[in-house]
Amino acid sequence: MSTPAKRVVSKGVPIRANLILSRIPIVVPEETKIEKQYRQYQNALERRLMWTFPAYHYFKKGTLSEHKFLSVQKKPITNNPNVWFPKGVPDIQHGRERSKAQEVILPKSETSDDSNITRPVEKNSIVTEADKAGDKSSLERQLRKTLYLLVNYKKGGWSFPKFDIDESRSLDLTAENGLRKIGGENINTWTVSKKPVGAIESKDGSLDFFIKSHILAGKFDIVKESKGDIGEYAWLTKTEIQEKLGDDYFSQTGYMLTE
Amino acid sequence: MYRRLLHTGKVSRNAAVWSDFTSRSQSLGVSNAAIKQGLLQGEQRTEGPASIKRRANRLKYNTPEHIDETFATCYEYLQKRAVKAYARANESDITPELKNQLLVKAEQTNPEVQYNFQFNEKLDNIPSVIDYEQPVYRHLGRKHWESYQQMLLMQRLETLKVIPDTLPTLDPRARVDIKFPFSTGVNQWIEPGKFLSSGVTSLEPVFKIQEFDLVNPYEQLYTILVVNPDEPDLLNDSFKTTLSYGLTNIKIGYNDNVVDSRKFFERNVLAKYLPPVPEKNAGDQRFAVWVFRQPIDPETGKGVAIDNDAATQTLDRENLDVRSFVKDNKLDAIGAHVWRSKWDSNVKNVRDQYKLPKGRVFSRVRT
Amino acid sequence: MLSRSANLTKAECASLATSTTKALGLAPRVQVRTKRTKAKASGITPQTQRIITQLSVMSARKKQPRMLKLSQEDLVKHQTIQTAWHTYQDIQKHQRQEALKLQFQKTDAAMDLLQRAAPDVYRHANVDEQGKVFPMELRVPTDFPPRKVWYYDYKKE
Repeated sequence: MSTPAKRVVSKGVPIRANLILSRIPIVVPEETKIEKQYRQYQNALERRLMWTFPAYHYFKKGTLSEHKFLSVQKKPITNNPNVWFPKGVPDIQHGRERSKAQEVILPKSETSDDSNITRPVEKNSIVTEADKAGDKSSLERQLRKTLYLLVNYKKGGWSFPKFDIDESRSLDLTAENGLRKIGGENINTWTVSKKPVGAIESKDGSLDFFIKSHILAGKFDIVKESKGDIGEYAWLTKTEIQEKLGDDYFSQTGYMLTE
Repeated sequence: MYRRLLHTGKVSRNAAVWSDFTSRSQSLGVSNAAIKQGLLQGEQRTEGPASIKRRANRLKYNTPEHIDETFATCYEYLQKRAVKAYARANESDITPELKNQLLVKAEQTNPEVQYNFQFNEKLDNIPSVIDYEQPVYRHLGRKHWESYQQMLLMQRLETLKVIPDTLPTLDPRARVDIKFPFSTGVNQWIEPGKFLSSGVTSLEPVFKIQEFDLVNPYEQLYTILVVNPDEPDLLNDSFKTTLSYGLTNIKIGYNDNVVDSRKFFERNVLAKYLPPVPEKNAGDQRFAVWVFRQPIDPETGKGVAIDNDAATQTLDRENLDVRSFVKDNKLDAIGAHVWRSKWDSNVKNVRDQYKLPKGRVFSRVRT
Repeated sequence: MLSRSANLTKAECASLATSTTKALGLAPRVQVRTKRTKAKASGITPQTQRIITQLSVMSARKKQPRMLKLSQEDLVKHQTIQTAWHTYQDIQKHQRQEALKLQFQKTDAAMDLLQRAAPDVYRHANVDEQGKVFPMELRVPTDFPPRKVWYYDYKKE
């Protein structure tokens, strides 16, 4: 492990606690081509090697439900000694061709009420209204990515929200309280650790420590009192942050962020 | 020094490096066109995989779902890594060992190489299919040998106490096989530790020495000794080691590595073959085959030859000290083999054939 | 033997049995015919049938598919797929490990710096946080988004 040079830090330098507030992905990352194909391939193999579905266990003999179930199953081709089967003689046990994957079809109920388990699942769109509108202040954008809160200070430009520390309090409390002061009380967050995940020493001697936190619910909205300092805020992905902050600053903070 | 080995690595930085045979050896591809197409293109074949011989079985065969498109993606993925490995291997600043490793890395995931290696004869290899001059085939060959034959050999050497009775220990690096190919023998590779009748062993064996390490086959010389540590020594009430066969200054290649009479001349023979002629009731006799690499002069890079005439003068065949012979000639034991013999009714004929004196008959003595 | 004498009642059988065994010095052995509880030999009770069905669901007999026999080409293809997949996984794992290692080093360096710059704050930061768990409100990523993507109406208690 690299040991940083033990320089003596002069007393009274400005120390700031920066908050890396993230919204974790809402939707799992997209499968790559190799992942998708491998999953399909393994799934097909697993189905081919599946044991025959024991219908007799689930449907009592002679009942209506058994009849319903059996009537929708596809019947395999049965063996006939007078017929030539080029793809091999059928080998059927419990109504399943043993050399193939079994397809189990569940019967659909006649009534279309909600209790029917086989009703189609409606999938919500992963591209949201905020994505279409390009609204970067929304938490409902880029659902597959992690978003980070960036604020635009009228003096210093875009950065993570930062707060001057009070020597009697821990970094995480300074950061969390500071966040509520500029963004309102109605935010539910969870601080990952009291320990800083990184530090930047500026040329003027000031120190920036970074605290990680997740937003769980609520809204960050700049309160009236802070409107003088902060112009706007945005929830950005790692790549967008790189564009916004510039490579120099990003090279010192990029390792703290995930896609 | 490694010129012949180096040229195999010069491959253009082509994306389809595995289908480019302009500078790669033909042995890195499947030679049968139908099988190659079935392997790489998949579904275009009309009636089942070409490797299945019977047409009815070909028709019956069901290929797993999604295997072809998944394979195509994985092939591309692995090939991209192979391109990188080849690019690194072609850089000039690397050692021959690293280059060897990179060439193995570039080819060992190639499905054509895997196909060739898995479904073809590995011991009696055809160089156009399994070419041990290619680093990848040497690597695969070594893995295959280590998975069974090497362990079997070491087990036999240890349980039969060949080590430490002849030499202290062995770090096996080359695969050694023996065969008695003449009309009297059995035309098959002998399993280590097997009992062979004296008729089978009446003419000299041939040796096959398969090197897996990166050596220079044009300079490297080998010595082969067959010793018998179980000759009764009545004078000392013990046993002594005799030399049954000795060959020196042998040159072998990676593929052309069967040491038989075509491979050496009179001047290579340290000691002419004397067949096992165990005496009655003298017990089982072990015949240990030892294969050594001779030293290489670090300045000239040439192999150091053993002066056979001088060695024959000083050598005591009847009471050989294997350890001092190895030490004196700076030999490096890389492989071994062992077979066993005991008295049988054919020993008399073998003795007559070689004009050996009549054998003794031992009997138990109460002490 | 005793139970076969049909004209004796149950009580009589019992008393007779005890007297005989006492006389012979044997342990008492009572065997009487009562109401039939077992099914006839031909049929199986529903309880037994249920057990048979349940056991046959668990057992492999007749339910296993044919063994998968791959041709030489397909075997090599399968091996290639597996090799590629494991290589892919290894690389990803390695990248994650490297990222974690870097983050740990940076945390370590930041703590060193904090110790020198503000010892009081360092003391607050350097407390044991074992047993800290993720909150219940943290959602796990799903395949598709929920109806209500974000809960904006949170009010501080």
